[in-house]
Amino acid sequence: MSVLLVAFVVGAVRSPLFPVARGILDREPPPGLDDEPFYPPEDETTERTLGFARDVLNAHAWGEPRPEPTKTELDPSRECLLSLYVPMGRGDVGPYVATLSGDGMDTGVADAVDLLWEHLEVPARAADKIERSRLKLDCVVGGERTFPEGGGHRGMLLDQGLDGIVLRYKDRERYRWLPSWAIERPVGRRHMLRSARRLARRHGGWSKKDAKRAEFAAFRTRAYVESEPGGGTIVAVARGNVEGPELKAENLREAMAIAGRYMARETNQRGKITYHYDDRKDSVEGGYNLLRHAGTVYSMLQAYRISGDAEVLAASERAIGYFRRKMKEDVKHPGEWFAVEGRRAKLGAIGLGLLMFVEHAKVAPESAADIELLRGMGRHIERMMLPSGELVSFYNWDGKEKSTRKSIFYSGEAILGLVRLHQLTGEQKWIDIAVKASDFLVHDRWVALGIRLHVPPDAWLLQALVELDRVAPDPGRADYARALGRSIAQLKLLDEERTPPDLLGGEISSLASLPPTATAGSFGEALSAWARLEARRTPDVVTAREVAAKNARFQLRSQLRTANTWYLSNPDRAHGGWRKRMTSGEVRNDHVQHNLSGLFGILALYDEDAPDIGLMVGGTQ
Amino acid sequence: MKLRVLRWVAVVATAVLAAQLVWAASSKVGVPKREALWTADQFMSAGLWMGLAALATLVASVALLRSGADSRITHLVDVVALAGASVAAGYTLSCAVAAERMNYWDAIHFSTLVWLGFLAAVGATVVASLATRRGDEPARALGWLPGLLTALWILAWMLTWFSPLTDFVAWVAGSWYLATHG
Repeated sequence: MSVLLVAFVVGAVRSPLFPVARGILDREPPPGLDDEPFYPPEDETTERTLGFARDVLNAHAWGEPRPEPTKTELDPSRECLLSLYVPMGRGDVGPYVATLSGDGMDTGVADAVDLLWEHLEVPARAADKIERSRLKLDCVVGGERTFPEGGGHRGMLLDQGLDGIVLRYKDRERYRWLPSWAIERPVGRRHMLRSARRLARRHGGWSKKDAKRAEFAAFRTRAYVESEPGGGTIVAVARGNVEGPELKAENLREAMAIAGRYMARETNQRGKITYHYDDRKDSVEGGYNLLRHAGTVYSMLQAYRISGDAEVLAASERAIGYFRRKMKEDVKHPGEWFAVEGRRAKLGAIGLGLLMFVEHAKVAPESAADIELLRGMGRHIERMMLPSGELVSFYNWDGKEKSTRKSIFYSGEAILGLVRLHQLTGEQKWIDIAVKASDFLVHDRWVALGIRLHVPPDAWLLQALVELDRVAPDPGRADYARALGRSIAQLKLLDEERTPPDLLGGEISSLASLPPTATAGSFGEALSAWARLEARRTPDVVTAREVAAKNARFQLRSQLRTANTWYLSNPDRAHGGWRKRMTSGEVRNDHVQHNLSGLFGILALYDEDAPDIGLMVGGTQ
Repeated sequence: MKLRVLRWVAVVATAVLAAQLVWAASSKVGVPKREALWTADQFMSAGLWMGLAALATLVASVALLRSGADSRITHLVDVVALAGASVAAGYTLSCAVAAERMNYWDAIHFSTLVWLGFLAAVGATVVASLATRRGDEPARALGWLPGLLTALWILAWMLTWFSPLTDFVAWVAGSWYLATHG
């Protein structure tokens, strides 16, 4: 017994839980910052300082005399650092950093800008480049905090975007690695010290040996950045981001409009949409996915319903053409249509293809696809259904399909496609198939031998059930829709008291990661559907609405906008997109799609004039 | 004598089949690109054979205990074999979930493992309890293990439907995350 007890204790100590628990105990609040708000408060002094710095910089760029310093305003006892970001493309943006110092701080500001100018590469000094540049000011607040090499277990004693690192060695000038750099570059929390040492060598002129031997500590700053290229008002920076727009109808509409424009810009003449854009490297990475292509076009058409932007519609129609060219008529079953990518015919592609075609018919009926083609897609889904109601994920059209994979999400996509097809045609047949397939998922999938094993966070199925509830209400399906919503809500950070304001509504993630912004989109689609169901069935309850609102606010906060892309080498290209998470450069078309559709879904709760997401097309109601 | 032999055969068979299941879960479930993966039916089949051996162990062990055979015989191996079968089922289930076999297996495959794991733990608890009553010291010393396993299986089952428990788990996960991120 005692041997087992010892083995248990040794196992617990050696398990990953122990170092994490110890790390939690070792995490300390930054000294002297008990009352510090998460987002730095409005600060006129900083605004004037950055304004003056901008004037000096513009004077350099236009060859005008340097403006005269006015008066000392910044507290000279506080150490501040001025950063200049010049987007040059190819991932090159700087920043160039200078420390503000001197008895007269404004003199210090002008001197700092002079220093920045001296170190600018010649091409970056061009007036058009300076017009697109951004200035950021970081002022050190509170005391310093020591931490072990590597930041403790998996870097958990350091917070990306909040903690900077100061290096000191003998009589060398101290080197400050600024907090926002962990997000800007990005750098994982356990690599922050290594990055600080590397940059001290590269930009601070430190030797490798000195950087390795230097004493190090963590510090925090109050940071502000110019809200627009070339100036503008200043906005507070926290964790490498700015506070996002409020959750209200006009902001939702604006977010969807710019997301639609992002995707329209990324649609080429053949109708192919950039799959993976890396906003840090300003480069397009490989890969493609026809299913996500269809989903992306569906959301572009939703954006068009909001903005009426003709370029978005034109790009969508090119992209529909691309999808149409990937479709095949089933030679074994004439009149049935599926889509092929490579060799694969995925059920999900036909489901999302139907969403795309039906959405197109809603916004542009005059140029919509032939209704017989859509019926053929519906018939294909029917063929993929087993007698139990289970939908098969891959169609063996060429006799070579060997996969036995049962995608968790394809069935929900196909069912939603059928529900939308019914909205277009009014034909009861599609609802009957959708009901049978839904009932399998609700009552039989993950249920066996008296155990319901799992309620998967299936966002597509939840949307399908909510729309199905309008035409074929059923308490069992509605209950399952609520269970799906709750299973997603349990993955979310929703406690306003305990959660940092920028993470509220985000998803619980791993030790090394900040909450993903990609899944906030798909969960946004699901949660807003759950909230619409709640509003329709139990108008006095707002549980789902509150969860959906926090999720949507997180979405708005993480969208790439002018204000929060000061560090990108090509912010105009990324504008309107969403990346995988704040510390990733991966902007994928489906990340943008889910986020856009999620906002479209919640708009109905904030705007009486919002388009009806489950609209029956004229004459079929 | 026959009963003792039968009991030993059942115990060895249970241990061997449990070890086989653990081996298969470690190497034949969801390793990308690895050929000769076991199908869900193969796992279920191996699990059912293990369950049959575990049932034989339980029956033989209980029969031996009730037959008034030599009380100096310890039933520790029976408890360990049944607990091992329970752990093997739980381990296989964990490996299957970790390898995202939800995309390939049906609910029946997962549920079978759940029932096998739970019933083997209950069987081990029964044997440990009966043996302890007969003064079997080694079995008594290990009596907590099948009890713990049974409790874990019940907890896992409750996590599939008891929303206050799932809310609590979500609260713990959220608190854990917030404690590690500022």
